[in-house]
Amino acid sequence: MSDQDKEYKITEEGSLGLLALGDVGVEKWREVRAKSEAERKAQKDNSKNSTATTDGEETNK
Amino acid sequence: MGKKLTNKVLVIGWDAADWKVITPLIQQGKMPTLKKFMEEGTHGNIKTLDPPLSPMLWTSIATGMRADKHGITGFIEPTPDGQALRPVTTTSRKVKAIWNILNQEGYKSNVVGWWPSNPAEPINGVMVSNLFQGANKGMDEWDMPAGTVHPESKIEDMKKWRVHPHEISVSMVAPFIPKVIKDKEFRKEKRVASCVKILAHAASIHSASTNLMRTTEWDFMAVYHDAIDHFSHLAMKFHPPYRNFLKEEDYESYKGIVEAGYRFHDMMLERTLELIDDDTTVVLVSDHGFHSDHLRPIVIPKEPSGPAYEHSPYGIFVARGPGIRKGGVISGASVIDVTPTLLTLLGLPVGNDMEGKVLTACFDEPVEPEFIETWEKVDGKDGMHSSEFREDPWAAQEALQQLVDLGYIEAPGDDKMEQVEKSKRESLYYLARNYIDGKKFDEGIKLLKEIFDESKVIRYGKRLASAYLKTGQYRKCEKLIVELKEAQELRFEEYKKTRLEKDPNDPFANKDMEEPMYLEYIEGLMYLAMNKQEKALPILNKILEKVPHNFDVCSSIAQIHLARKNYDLAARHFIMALAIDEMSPIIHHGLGLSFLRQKKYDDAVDEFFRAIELNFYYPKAHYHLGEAFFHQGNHQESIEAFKVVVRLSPGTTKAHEWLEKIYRDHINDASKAEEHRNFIQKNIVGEIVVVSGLPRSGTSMMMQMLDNGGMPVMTDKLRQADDNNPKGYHEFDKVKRLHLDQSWVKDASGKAIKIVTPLLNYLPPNYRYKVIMMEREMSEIITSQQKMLGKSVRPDTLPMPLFTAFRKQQEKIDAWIESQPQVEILKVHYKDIIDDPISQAERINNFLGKELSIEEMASVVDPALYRNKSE
Repeated sequence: MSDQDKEYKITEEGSLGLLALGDVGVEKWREVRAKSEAERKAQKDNSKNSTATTDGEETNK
Repeated sequence: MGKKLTNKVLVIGWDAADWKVITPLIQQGKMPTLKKFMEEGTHGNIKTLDPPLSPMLWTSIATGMRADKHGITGFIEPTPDGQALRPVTTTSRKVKAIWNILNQEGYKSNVVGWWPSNPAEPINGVMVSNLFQGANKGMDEWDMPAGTVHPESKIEDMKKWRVHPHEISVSMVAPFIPKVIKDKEFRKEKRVASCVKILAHAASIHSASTNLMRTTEWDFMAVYHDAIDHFSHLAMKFHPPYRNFLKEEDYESYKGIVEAGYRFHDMMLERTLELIDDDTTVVLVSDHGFHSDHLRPIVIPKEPSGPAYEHSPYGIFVARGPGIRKGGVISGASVIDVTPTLLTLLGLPVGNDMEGKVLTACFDEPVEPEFIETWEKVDGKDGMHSSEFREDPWAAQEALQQLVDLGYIEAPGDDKMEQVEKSKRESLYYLARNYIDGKKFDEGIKLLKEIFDESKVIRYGKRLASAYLKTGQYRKCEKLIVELKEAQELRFEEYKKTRLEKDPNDPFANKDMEEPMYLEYIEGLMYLAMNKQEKALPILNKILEKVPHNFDVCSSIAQIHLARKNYDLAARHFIMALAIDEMSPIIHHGLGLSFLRQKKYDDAVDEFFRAIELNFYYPKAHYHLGEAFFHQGNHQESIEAFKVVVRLSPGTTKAHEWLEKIYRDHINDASKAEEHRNFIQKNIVGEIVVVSGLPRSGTSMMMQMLDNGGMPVMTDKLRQADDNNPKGYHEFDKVKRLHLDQSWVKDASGKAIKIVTPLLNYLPPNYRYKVIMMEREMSEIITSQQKMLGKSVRPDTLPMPLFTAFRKQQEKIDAWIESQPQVEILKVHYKDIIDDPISQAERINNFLGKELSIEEMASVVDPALYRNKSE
């Protein structure tokens, strides 16, 4: 069975199965993690910005 | 160049993998890849070497040589400046590894994680060293030590395949320790952290190796995983079944670690096998096993390399792919056989200096291995570090010490130097054990004596006593045991005092902190070797109570009981021995015989079959199988078994007698019965009493005893009495040419004849033989021989090569006797006759079933002729 024939659902948490896939598994997992982290960071930044705006509004009140 | 059976080879090393763990997992469907892999190839046990220390063993696997030749003698070595210690390095390896040989032959190799492989060697391919996966710092500052990767162009690429322990998530650890899912605090436990680290290491090696498999061209690849060994040291004590000294909570938390470790390796194997083509032969091997059952040590001795006590002597070997037999099982493999086997697979000659053999039984066609003197003298680009870069680290350390002594360089601190000295001694201890394991007794004894005299470390003394025992130096062994027992008692009292002062309930304040009962073990075997079974048995029984996992003790006790016709006890001890090594044909045969004599014929048949399966050329096992079938009423099967006996050992009297009886009384085939009767009448001339032993072991005295007691003896009196044998030699000149001419043997029928041990296996099989084997302290034999030859003998030295050669001869003859049903043996010790001639004469008379005159036999014994006594 070739790599293309298999489908693995990759979560940020990863799994033993992913580690067992070797370099390909580790690489994909890191990509997913990086993407999730980036998304979280963006979300956090957004939420910070939004809090700052709200705070500002409140201060302005 | 020989025939090439394969074009590509992948070797996967699983440190400490053991069939005893794997087999139940396979049966439960938990290691499906390995199961399929085994079915498609050949598998079996692989025997480790002593000492079972991984860097030595993996180097032996990669070189086909033992540690004294390859130079890796432990875990650590001094740094080039002699100031400190460091893990062993490739530069200390004195010989070519298989990848160096292949380099010269134009092959491209990748090597990942092999122990030791740092600094990485400049091979044609990629080498990722054993320091690759270590992570002592956080992810942001995670450097890779110098020398980890060759070529340099691959450093950055390889770096990214390392998996840091911080990356390992809870869901990855959960299959090992499910408790981590719910219990956040528990995640901080030390064992959890260790598990995470081992898993990260395994993932790093696997990622690097799969990447190289996918992205590089290679002909040979070797990948080494240490994780099974580490998981096992971490948690084998919690592996089911539960043992009552464990805390239940701990058991519940950690009982799944070992199983999950093996299953993870099965998953990695699946991926690895996906990445190879049909052109690749794969060999999966471990360097030793790991006790996983009742043989698990409860206490790990507090000594350097103490954890190695958890290692078991047999690892795993599985091969699959081009050149390999499908569905095959092999036995008798050793870790030093791997490289010779791989070279043969690749059509290359094996070095005569390699100590392993070619495992031809795993090939799918008959192959005649080719040999060359040595690969070390074959010039060419071998991918090793240049010679000025390679050095013996201990020699370098000595040279450094000389510079220190001369005042050229500053001495390292006292503690450091002491540490280096201790480590050096420990390394010599491993080297000495390696010599003894390789039957190089002279070198081993010399080294052990040196380090024991210098340090008085009891462990060293025990190994020395064991070496004395193995070389038949019983007096020295006995004397040393007394010394060691006293020293051990003194040390234990001091140790107990210190421990109990700190904790009155300290469970470690016991005598078995080092190699439990090892001294008693040597003592027991020593008495056994001296034929003092009455002294040996209680000691061995006592050991067995405390250390139930010693194969030699179990099998020795079993053999004593078998000889004494205590069949039930014999069977019990054979079974215990089989629990340790189920691959021993001799033990299966012994157990079968115990069952046979207890009329448990079904069980007996099973055991004889097992013995034959493991060693088909075992006439005695076929013979007893025939006997067991007969008692079951399976006459046809019985006939077949006895026919094999006469085929393997033509003319075996007893087998022909059985065949005659069965054809006559049970098959009603008179002509066949007559055939065997005629054969016996024409060919089986009768019984011969053979007095054997090494020259100067007391064979002449035994002949005189028999002669005087009324036994007809066969002598020609050509050799006259002299100072060495004032009462005559009682020899028959033609015996010397027994290997060339056996025509005269018929004249010895019904008589006693003296035949030295090395000639015994030339005796024709168509007689019954009762062999009286004379034994004597080896040092006395050799001293006496040397004096007889007019050679000067110094009291403190003995020619060790002679020891080794005689020992080997004796082992060869013992194996021959064990396999021959028509040969019965009685071992008689020379000194026992001197001490108590009457009772020994009675023993001999009983064995022969004669009515010789005991008094007359005993009267020839003259203690004044007992010269050349050992100290």
